[in-house]
Amino acid sequence: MLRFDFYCKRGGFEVHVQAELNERSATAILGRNGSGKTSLLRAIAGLDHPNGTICVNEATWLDSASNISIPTRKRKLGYVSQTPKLFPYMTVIENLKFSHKLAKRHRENGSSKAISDMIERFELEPLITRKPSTLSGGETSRVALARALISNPDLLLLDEPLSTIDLDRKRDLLPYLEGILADRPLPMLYVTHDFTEVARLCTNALVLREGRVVDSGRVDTVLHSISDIDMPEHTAKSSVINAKYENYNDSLFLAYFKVDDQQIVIPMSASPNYEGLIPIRITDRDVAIATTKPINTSMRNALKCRILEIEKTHDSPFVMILLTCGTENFRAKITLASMQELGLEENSEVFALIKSATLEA
Amino acid sequence: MNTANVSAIWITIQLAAVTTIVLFLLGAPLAWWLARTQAKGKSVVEALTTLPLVLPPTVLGFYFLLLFNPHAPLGSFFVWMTGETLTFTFHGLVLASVIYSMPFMIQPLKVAFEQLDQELLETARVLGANTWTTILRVILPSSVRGLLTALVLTFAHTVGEFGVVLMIGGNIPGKTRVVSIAIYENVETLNYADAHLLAGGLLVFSFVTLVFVYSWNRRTRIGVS
Repeated sequence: MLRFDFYCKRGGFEVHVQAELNERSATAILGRNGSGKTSLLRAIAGLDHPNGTICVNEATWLDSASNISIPTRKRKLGYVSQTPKLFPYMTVIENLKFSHKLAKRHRENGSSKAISDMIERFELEPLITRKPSTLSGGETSRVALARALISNPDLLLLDEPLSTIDLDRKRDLLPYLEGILADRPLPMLYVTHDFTEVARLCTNALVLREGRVVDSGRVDTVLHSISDIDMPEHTAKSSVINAKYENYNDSLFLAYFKVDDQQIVIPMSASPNYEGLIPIRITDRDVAIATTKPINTSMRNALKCRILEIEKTHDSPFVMILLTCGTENFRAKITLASMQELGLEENSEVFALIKSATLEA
Repeated sequence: MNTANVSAIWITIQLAAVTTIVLFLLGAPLAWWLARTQAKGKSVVEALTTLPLVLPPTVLGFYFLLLFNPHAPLGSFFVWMTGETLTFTFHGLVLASVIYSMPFMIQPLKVAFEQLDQELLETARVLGANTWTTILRVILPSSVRGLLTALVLTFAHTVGEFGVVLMIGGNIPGKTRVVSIAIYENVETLNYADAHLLAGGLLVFSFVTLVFVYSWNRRTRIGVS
C-alpha cells in the first residue's frame, strides 16, 4: 500500500500530488516532460524534501505535521533512475554485493534476496567480473534493476529505466520485470512514455499535468480517456483492449486471441507464455473502418463493432471514432471525408480493420 | 654521507608525512565544504586557503614567528599545554608546514569533490549507505585521482620548503634541520660533495614524483572513459 499527499517546490516548479494505491502491483506514471513525474519519484525517495505525508505499508516515511521524515537510506525502496548509475570502480558483482551488504546492515530484517537469485533472474552471469564502463545500456539497466531488487524493497520506483535502450532491447527487458512482478508482487511506480510497457506491466495508471494528478485508475480506463495534451509530442494515441489468449501457430508465427468471441491475430516470433486476459495495444491511426466485411485483403483482423461515439474536432481533417466490441472499447482515427462517404453515425454496426503487424500484446 | 645529513633526510620525511596526514584530516572536510557551499564567506575562505601559494615564505615565516613566540597568545598557550615552545621545535614546523602546504591539499580535493557525480551519491543513499559508508565506498574511490594528487603534492611541497622552516625552525641538527636547510649549510661551509648528494637526491625525488602524478592522472582518465 502506498499513500501520499504532498507539496514540494523544485526550482520554479510546484508539485502537489495526492494518491492512494492499494495494490501490490505496478502503477504507470504518465504525463508530458515537465509534468512532475521525476519530482514525484524523488520526493517519495526522500531525495527532495516535500511537505505532507507519505506512507508505505504500515510505515510513515513522511509526516510534516508531526515532524517525521525518515532519511532516504532508511526507506526500504528501490530506485532506478533514467540513467542508472552503477559504481564505476566496482565490477558488476561488487555492485550487487555492495547493495546486499547495505541492505543487511541497515535494514532490520536482513531478508534480502540472495545475490545468486538475481544473477540468475537477470542472466548476469557472463557480466559479473566486468566493469560498468564496458556494459551496454541494456546490460547496465539489468544490473541496476537487480541491484535495486537485492535490497528486497517495499516499494520500487522506476524512472524510465528503459528509456536509454533501443526499442528491441527494451522489449527484451520487459519479461524480466514481468517475472519480478509475477513472483514477488510489490508496489511499483513506473514512469514511462511507452504504451506497450504500460499495457504489459501496469494495472493502474496516474496522469500528471503541471505537477498535479489529473487522472488515475485502472490502466485501461486511464489510457482510453487520456488527453492528447498529456501525451509526449509525436506519440500516437492508442487504446488497450483485453483479449483472451487462445493458441500459437508455429508455422505461421501467429498468436491467436479472442475478443468477444471474435478472433485477433498478432504476429510473434516465438510462442508466448500467456494465460488468460492479455492487454493489447491498438494505435488509433492503425484502425480502418468498413461497413461490410472486406474480402481479399491482407488485413488479418476485422472485428465487428458498434460505434459508441464520434468525436469531431473543429478545424481538423480527422474524426475519432469510439468503437465497442463486447466489453472492450477502442478508437479509430479516420478522415472526416471517409466518415461522410460511409455514412457513419453513432450506433452503426461496422468492421474495424487492424493490420496485425501494428498490434502489440 | 655523514650522520647529520641522514638525520636531515629522516626529519624531512617525518615532517612531510605528518604534515600530509594532518592536512588531509583537516583539509578534506574543508575542501568538501568549499566544493558544496553557496555560503557568502566562501570566497574569503578560498582566498585564505590559497594565500600561502602567492606569499613569499618569508612573509609567512615572519607572521608565524610573531604568533608562535612564547609571549604571544598561541605560543604561550602551547607552552602551557605541552611545556615546549612552538618556535625552533618539530611541532612548530608541522604547524607552519600545514599552513604553508595547504593549497596543495585543498585545491585538488576541491576540484575532485566538485566533479563528483551527484547521482552516484544519491544512489548510495537509496541503497542505504550512511555517511561513513558513503565517504569510504563512494566519495573516496570516486575522487581517487584528486586524492592521490593532493597527497603526493602536499608531501613533495613540504619536502621542498625552505624559507618558512628556516625562520620558524632554525637549523638545529636532529631536531629542525631538514634537507633543504642542510643543503644551504653544506654550501655555506663549502661541503659541496654532500650538497651535491642532497640536492641531486631532492631533484630526482621531485622529478619522479611529478612524473608519477602526471602518468597516474592520464591512466585514470583513460580508465574512467
